[in-house]
Amino acid sequence: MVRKIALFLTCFVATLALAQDTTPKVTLHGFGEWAYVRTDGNEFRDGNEEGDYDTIGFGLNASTAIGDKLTVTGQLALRTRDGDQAEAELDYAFAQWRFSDELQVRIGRSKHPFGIYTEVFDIGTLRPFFHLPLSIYGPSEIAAQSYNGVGVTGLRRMNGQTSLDYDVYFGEVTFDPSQRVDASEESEQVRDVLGGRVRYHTAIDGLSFGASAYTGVTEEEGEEEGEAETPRHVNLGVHAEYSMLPLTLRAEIGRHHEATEAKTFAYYLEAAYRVGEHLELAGRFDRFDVTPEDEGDVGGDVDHRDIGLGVNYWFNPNFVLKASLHRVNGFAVAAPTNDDDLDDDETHAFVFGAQFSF
Amino acid sequence: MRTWMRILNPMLLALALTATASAQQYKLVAHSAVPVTSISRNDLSMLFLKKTSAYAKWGSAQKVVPFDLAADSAIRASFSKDVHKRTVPAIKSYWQQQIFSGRGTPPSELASDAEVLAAISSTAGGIGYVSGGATIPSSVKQINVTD
Repeated sequence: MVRKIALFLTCFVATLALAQDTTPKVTLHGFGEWAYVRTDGNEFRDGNEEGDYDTIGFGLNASTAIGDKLTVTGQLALRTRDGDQAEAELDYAFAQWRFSDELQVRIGRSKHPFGIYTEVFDIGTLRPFFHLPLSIYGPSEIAAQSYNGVGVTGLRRMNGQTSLDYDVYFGEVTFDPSQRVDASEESEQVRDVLGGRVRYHTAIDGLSFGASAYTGVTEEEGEEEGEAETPRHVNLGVHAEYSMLPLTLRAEIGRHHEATEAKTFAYYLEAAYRVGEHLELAGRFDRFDVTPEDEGDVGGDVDHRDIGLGVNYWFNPNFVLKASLHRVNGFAVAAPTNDDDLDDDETHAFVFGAQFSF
Repeated sequence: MRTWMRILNPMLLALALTATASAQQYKLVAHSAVPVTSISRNDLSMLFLKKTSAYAKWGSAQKVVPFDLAADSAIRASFSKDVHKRTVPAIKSYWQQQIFSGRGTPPSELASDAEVLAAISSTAGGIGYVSGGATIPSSVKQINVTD
């Protein structure tokens, strides 16, 4: 495994380094995190009653400009999953051609432009809690981490200090098992995806609003033998963000509908306030609700509610220690350790960790 | 009322002087071939945040190349506050967002006035800022910042 990762990293950096024939440099950045998670009984975010030390991640990001128009960018990440060995993943790797500020074309694997956080999924120094809100970024199949295909993006300056940026893309998105509420061990591909996001940056510095949407189909076995079904996914989201230190406020609402299976309604509200230069207080309410299309489905409604309070210490914008307490209701994400605990769907969790980027 | 004004006037004057001093702690400089003598704060902010790569008044084919001072520089803090209306940590967060979403990389960070002036001298379209007391060589021109 380590050899594969080393080979992958070597090839990746070497490819970018070859581009140096015509450009001055490859820019390297990175990020990482570690967390301890402990609960009062049920399992949640890999944590349990004994406490879990195995949430670890590290990633490298490299980019180079080849001339004025072409940029090549890639990001690799190593993450532990369910306490197992770290797995290497290609977060994204794409080439971007810049026609103008308003029009740039991307080809390859790009971060999924949906909502506020999808493009910076693993960058803990850009959010107040160690983990992202599960409602939009968890197992609700609303926001994927990346898409494979073609996209166009750009930014248009409007009157005064306002601006509008947009993304339109076509391709395939993948939800890994951790993003599936049905506890399936398989990834799910949504193909023939057409989607977009638009964000309006207001004249009030730090205040922006946005909307995202995409649709695509999955391929599944039908009820008849040999028959295939292609249920359509339709996902919608709106968000608002105010980020101007010392205060950050974020809210998102998302809706996922998968024909013949289920619909999900999700939202969160998140606030953080910096007290002085280093200390930050944070609060979040996070909720999603999955309703099966067929009311008779085993399991019925799946609900998740998480109230979190956190305190962070920022050494600088690149390194932060975070501690948070969560009261979680529902078994959409939390899980009982044994059948006797099925009646008690309330979980209390403590998360302590460090996150950095450079 | 008069008593209050007697107390407040010197305080307001001191505040105004402090603000002016803060705004003048840096000099905006660019490559001598750059065909402008002034630039608005808003346009300048867009250039340093790389929200625009081409500045029409610069000349249609000329790419603008901004240079920053190091994050712990007092001059950078002054520039950031005056031009971006944000603190340096807030600008750092903006760049983290851009870097890790694959949307852009920040301007090169240079350690001193001398390094900034040398980089601008050798870069067509180069723009940066130095301390208010820095001596500007002939290969670099000073540009006024307007509201």
